[in-house]
Amino acid sequence: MKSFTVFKKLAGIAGIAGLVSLLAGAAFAVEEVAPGQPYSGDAASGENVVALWQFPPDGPALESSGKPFRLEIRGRDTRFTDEGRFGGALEITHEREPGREAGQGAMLAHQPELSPPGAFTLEMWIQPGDLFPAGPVSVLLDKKYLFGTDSRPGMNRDYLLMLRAAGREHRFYLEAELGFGDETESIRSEAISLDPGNWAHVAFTYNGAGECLFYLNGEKVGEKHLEGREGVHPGTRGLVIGDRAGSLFSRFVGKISEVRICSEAVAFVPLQSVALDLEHSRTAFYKKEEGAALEVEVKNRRTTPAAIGKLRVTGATGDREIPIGTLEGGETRTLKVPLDTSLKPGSYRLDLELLGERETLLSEQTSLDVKILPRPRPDELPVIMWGHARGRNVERLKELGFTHFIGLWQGAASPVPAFLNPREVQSVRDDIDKALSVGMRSVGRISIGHARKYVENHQREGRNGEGLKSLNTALPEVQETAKELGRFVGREFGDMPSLEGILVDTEVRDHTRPSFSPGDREAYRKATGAEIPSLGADSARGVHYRQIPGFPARRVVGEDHPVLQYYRWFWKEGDGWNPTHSETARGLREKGKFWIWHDPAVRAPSVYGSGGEVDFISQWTYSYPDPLKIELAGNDLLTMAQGSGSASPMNMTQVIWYRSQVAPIPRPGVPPLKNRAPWENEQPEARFVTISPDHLGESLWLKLTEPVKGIMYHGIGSLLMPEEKIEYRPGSYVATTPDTEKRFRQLIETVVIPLGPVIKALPEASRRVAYLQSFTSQMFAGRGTYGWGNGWGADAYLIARYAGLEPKIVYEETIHRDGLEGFNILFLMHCDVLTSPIVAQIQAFQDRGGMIIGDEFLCPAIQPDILLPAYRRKSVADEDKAALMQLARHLHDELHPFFEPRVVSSNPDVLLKQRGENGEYLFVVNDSRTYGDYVGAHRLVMEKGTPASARVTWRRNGSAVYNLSTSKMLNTAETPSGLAFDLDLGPGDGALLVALDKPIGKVLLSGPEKVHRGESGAFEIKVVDAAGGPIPRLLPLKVAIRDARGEEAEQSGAYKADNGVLKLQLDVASNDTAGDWEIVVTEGASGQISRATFQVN
Amino acid sequence: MRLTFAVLGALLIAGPLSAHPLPNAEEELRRQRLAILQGQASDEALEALRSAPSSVPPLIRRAAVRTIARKGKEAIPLLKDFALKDPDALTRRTAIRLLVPLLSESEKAPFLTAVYRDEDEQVRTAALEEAAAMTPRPEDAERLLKEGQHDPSTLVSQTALQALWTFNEEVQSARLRPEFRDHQLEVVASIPLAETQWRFQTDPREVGHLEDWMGEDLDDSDWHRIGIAKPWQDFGHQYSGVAWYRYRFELPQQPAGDAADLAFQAVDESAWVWLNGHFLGGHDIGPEGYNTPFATDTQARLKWGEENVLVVRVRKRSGAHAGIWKPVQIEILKKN
Repeated sequence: MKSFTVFKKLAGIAGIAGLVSLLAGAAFAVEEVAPGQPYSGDAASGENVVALWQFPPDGPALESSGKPFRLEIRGRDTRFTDEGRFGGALEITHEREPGREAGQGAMLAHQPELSPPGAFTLEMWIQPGDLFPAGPVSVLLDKKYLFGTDSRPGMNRDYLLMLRAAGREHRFYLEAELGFGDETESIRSEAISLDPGNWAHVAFTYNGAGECLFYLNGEKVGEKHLEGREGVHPGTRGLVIGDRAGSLFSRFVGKISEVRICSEAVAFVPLQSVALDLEHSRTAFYKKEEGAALEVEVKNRRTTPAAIGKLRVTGATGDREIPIGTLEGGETRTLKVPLDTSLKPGSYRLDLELLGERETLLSEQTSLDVKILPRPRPDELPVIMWGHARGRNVERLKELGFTHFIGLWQGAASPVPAFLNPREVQSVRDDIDKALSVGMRSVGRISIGHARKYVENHQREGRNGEGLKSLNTALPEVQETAKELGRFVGREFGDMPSLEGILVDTEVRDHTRPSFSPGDREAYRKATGAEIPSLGADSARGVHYRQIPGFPARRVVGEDHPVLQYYRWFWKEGDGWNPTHSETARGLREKGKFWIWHDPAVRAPSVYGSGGEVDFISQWTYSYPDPLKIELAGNDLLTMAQGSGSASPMNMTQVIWYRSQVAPIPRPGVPPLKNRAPWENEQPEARFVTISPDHLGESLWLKLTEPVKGIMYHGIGSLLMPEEKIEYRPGSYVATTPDTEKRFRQLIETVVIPLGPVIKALPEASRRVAYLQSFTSQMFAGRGTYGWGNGWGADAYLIARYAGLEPKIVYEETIHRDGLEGFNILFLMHCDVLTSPIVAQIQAFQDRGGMIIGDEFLCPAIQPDILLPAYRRKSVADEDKAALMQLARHLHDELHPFFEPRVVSSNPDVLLKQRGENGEYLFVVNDSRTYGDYVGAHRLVMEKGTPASARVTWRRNGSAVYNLSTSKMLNTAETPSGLAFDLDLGPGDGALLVALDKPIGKVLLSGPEKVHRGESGAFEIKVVDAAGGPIPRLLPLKVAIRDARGEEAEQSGAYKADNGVLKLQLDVASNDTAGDWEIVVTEGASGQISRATFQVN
Repeated sequence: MRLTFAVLGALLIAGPLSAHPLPNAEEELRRQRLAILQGQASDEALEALRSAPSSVPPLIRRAAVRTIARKGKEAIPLLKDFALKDPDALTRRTAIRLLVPLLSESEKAPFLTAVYRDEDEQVRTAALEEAAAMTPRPEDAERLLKEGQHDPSTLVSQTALQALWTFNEEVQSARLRPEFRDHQLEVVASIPLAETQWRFQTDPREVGHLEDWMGEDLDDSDWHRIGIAKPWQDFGHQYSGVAWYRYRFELPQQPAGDAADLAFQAVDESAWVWLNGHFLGGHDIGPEGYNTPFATDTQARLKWGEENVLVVRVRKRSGAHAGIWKPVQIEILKKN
């Protein structure tokens, strides 16, 4: 439900009494009755009226048309009252005879007329009392007695109407029971809402031929056809109103008015003839959002045409009148009501009403609160919660610093392409709208690969035609469906600007398999002119060279080796996933302006193209046992993205840790560790654990060292401490430490927000060390980390980093495309098999002076300059790290003096990474860790960071170095090796430094003296050296804009100065506060502050 | 470093290089390495490196060997010297790698046998790899590989083993299947294998795999009866080397689950596993593997409701404790 308020105020008649009179008898019957009257005339005494009780004060027990159907009160809790719907009522309480022992209500002895032979209608007005319901069932009208079919004679006759609780507060089903002699049929409505104190009209109609309908206030709320049924079997029991006839009594607690039984199936129509519906409208908008409009539906709920003059909207965002005209019977017309979103952010109330041609009010006046939200900063580094949340958790995520969450989530049972029905679409739109109202933007997650039934129907085929339970995305019809899915999402959600991103096909490729259908074979033939080779195990991961007869002894193959050619085709396009992502993206772009991403994009071998034509690719990684794995994934992503030519990387850290990897549940019979953490006692069966705070911190810094356009996290439950006690389930994500949430907030506030604009724009620095991930070896020797960061192929990367190197992942395609120029070192780890052109390039590189670092698995055609023997982990975290560090020392010593890094850390735990076109930025990350008291007892992960210090030497003599994390200039010393300075880092901490040729002199702020409300002012911020020259760097700026009341204005926030300059177009809204405003700019390198005031009038 | 510089300076600086000033020793080393790689060092200088002291940086020696090898067959004597005598192991290894393609087929095996005596495992590994690469493989190369199987270094012995037979894939738990990698797999049922009624045969000649001892239909009725969960020595087999276990067992109907692992709590020290005639993988991580649990994906090879044949080849290099000395069970895994 939307958060708008409905005020009922009709035709100038104020108050409940007026409303009552207006709605009374408001045309429930087919023929309309004049408003303001209870049933009268034919509606009260016509030939089809079997009985009508209106409980008038002067004779409440009498039948209204004069029939001899006098009611008798039953029970001490039942009475007649004057306070009914139209004067009188029957009221039932449970003051004196509580429970189900004593029958209540009003009785009438058996009357044959009360058993209509064919069609009939039962209806009444009811007003639930404060203590309603008294039990699960509340009987309104009973002429049947027993519930359901009873085999005893005479028990399946006549009818019964009741309310049954629907499980949630104030929600009920209307139920009718009809006796057909041998059997009883039970019919139930949809769940309806009945609020204590509010009158509601309820009705049940039966047409004597199986057709049953329920109505609430004239609106149909349920129907059922009883196949082969005719009229009910007439009974001999009396009638009871407001309770059951006998046995376990089930009284209705409240008031009952105007009970009518007719011998026809009355066609009811809704109370109001025309209505406004805002259920489909957004309520949250960005400031200055283009085309912002409310979506108002005007419905003619009658069967005849209705003349409607206009829709009038009044409120702070501007008064409007929109002409409507005539609506045909049953017609719904959608009106777009433009909104003025130039106002300052805030909440604004709008009143809407439908007017007739002579300004008569035709509908309820409806009020709607709309919100105008600050515009997102274009420079901001998005922080995406890769997870779905609702209600309070959305607000908590926003408070923590997330900018996006998954507001649109596709489940495995979703049909495609229209994976949501209209009601579900509306529900998602509401969620996205609600999220925006608290400032949270959304992303969506869609795929044809998660729709179980669709996968079953479009499987890949094995060599013998058997289904492989893997979606065959190479099928043209599957790719077309993917596009259609994209179109569907674009159509249904493309107008919602806060649904910004769409994740396509997450985690689908783990199930990919070579497929051998005639279509697949033909596709391969068409692409290469060759037949699919015999592939042994037919795995997507290749064939081991030892299984290939006659494989070259020195493990050098041609680029056209049939197996290599097949797998290259398979992973780039042949398995169909990359083209499918592209098709989905194309479909999405037809109607939406989404940014589109795919993950985990490097859970694939090292060939370009993973993700297809999306805008971003991402990867998720676990930080255990060593957070450097997060950087490795980012490095890999960058290469994959650069290979695609159009995508940029993002990177995700798992907030969850698998329990088995950090603190395993003891095996049966093995006593738990004595020094286990408290959470292990509280959640002994937990399968997931929260990442430790220091790993979270270090992972963030390591993620940022590689160019990323956004960061993500997964595991809401593991991050947010429950606000109230929850029922714990072993498989769920439940936070095991409150410290991670606190650390997250601190990281967002101190790193992501202030430095995000600069970090997001910083280009990669040129690198002198390449690290080959060989597709050929992945396919022929089962190598590759597939984005997991496990095994020797990843550990050697860690060694390189501990040795002070800054490797760049390259693929064989990178070498084909760019050669190895510019690199001095090439790591060849797990490069068992290479192609002859790659070998030639590597040998030429080596002949030019390049150094090869290889392992014992290296293709024998290449002779390494340094051999790094593979290390097999012992799963003892400190010993493993020490062993990698030892190898790093060996590597460092061998390289000296043949390779001199541009920047050197005296402490291998203090990791360095240059960024910026000329390496003028430097990330510094503290990897010093030990066992803590969280999971450390298990010795699988050193989860606790420790402080670390290092002397850093940077080949940048004559520079000034600033720490952007502390906004301070560092004390540096000129040495023969470069500029040297000392750094101290806290546990899991990092810093971003910048080197300037000249120190920052001052921060200049200029702009107009006056800005009129509703207009803009152009301000300029310049960061200059002492001589007034601009600082040619990207620098963080904090801009605080305070209005005349001292409140922070919309465009306050984090910015970057580009080449020392920020131009800020400040929009002052027409309803902003007039007076003196202030801008305070804090420059993030030197910490200098500049202020200016201007007048708003 | 001074000594190195002096030695190299004397050896290498000739012609145009000598005209350059020498800003510092480190830069000079870099220049000299580059000069060697770019063919600017004289033959005499390269030859002199053969007897240069070990303080000459390895990266220079390795670069020199690669440069020398470019000369082709005339480099053979010099490369042999480097291969057999250089103080730096990787220089020796590099020389072996570059020399073997230059040798005649008849020269290769004797040379490789000679360098196999090297103290460094990487050098011995290279020798065995080169021997394994010979096609057709001469007897002395085969003999060298067989000798290599018993090398005290796991790296070396594995290299020989890989060359001599084809069962090289490592065991891999079903948990590592791509589709399960980001899921927690729970053990929802465990079926322990009996600790008695196994069959056992030693294989000192290491021919079992050639005679299909892993075969499903092999008649093992004349094999010794043995149990597991204790070393084979406890059953009276005082033996080190290769031995085979066979075990026939009935399984119940398939329980609900997503995959099944065959989980060994420990085998001393290396094991290769076949199920119903299909090779599942080997667990051969050297002596430290004696007490390391491992599990292998049964890859749908289990026959539920039928008889199954499990065969485990065990190799123990030396020691008084060997075999499947801890229990084995089938673990039914389910995604959560």
